[in-house]
Amino acid sequence: MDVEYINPFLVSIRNVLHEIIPEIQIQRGQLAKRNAPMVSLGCASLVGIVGSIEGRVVLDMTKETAIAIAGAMNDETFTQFDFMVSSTINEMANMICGGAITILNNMGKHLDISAPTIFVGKDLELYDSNLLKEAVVVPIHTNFGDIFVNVAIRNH
Amino acid sequence: MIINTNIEKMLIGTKSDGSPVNAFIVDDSVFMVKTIKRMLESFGLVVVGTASDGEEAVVKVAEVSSQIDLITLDISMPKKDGLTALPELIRINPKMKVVMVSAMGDKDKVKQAIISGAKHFVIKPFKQEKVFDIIRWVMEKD
Repeated sequence: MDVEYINPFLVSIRNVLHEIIPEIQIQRGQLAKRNAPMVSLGCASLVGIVGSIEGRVVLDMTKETAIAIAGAMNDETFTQFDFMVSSTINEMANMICGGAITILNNMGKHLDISAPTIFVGKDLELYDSNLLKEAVVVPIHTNFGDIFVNVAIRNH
Repeated sequence: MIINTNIEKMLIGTKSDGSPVNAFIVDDSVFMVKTIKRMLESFGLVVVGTASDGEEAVVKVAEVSSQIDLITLDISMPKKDGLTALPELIRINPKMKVVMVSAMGDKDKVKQAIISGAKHFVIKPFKQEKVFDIIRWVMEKD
């Protein structure tokens, strides 16, 4: 998968996280390739990409990280994973992918994103279509926990 | 998102006749509805209703359209998206001012929204100060 598709997501995640959680500290980890299936840490928000390329992005994290991030975004304390936590994490994924797709569209692509869908459950296996067997994963280490950005894209 | 409630709320929360500016929020994200509601209320606006998709918005707004001064309208929603609902909402009450909300800065969609009658367009994530400036500009504009 071409790295030109990964960088916009890394730029966007940094921009969006700093914007929505000013106190967040972010450190990017090592990029790695992963084969299907994707095994979730507990909370996976999936956004589909359609247009001149096809794919999906999954923001994967533990439920504890999701609860901590949602708490910071809402300026509240959540003690359990509930509907507001899932809505908040999905909106974070929507903003990150929206920002990345805006960058790609400004580079001449013609892309759109689907509404985010959240999957909850540790070790949940996510299978993409046969054409998306390989994904690139980038860990984003934060003081609220780690977020794994899992991107699978193919050209038409 | 941090909401600062000390902002000069009276500047935009009240109309020239002294009555409050009434707002209606349309967004399929519970988080965004809550965040936008907190922001608008911190400016002194009164949120008179919410809807989670364009279809529900058209029905609900029709019931209370004379009370509504401002609508925030998300673009990507199930059933009926914001761009489809926009002309229907404007037809219900052409005096309502609509601000589109989106996670994507799509020039074509911005253009389409403005042609269909939206007064402004805001890209998520947004700061409270940015929303304040937009609401003030929109409410002052004829």
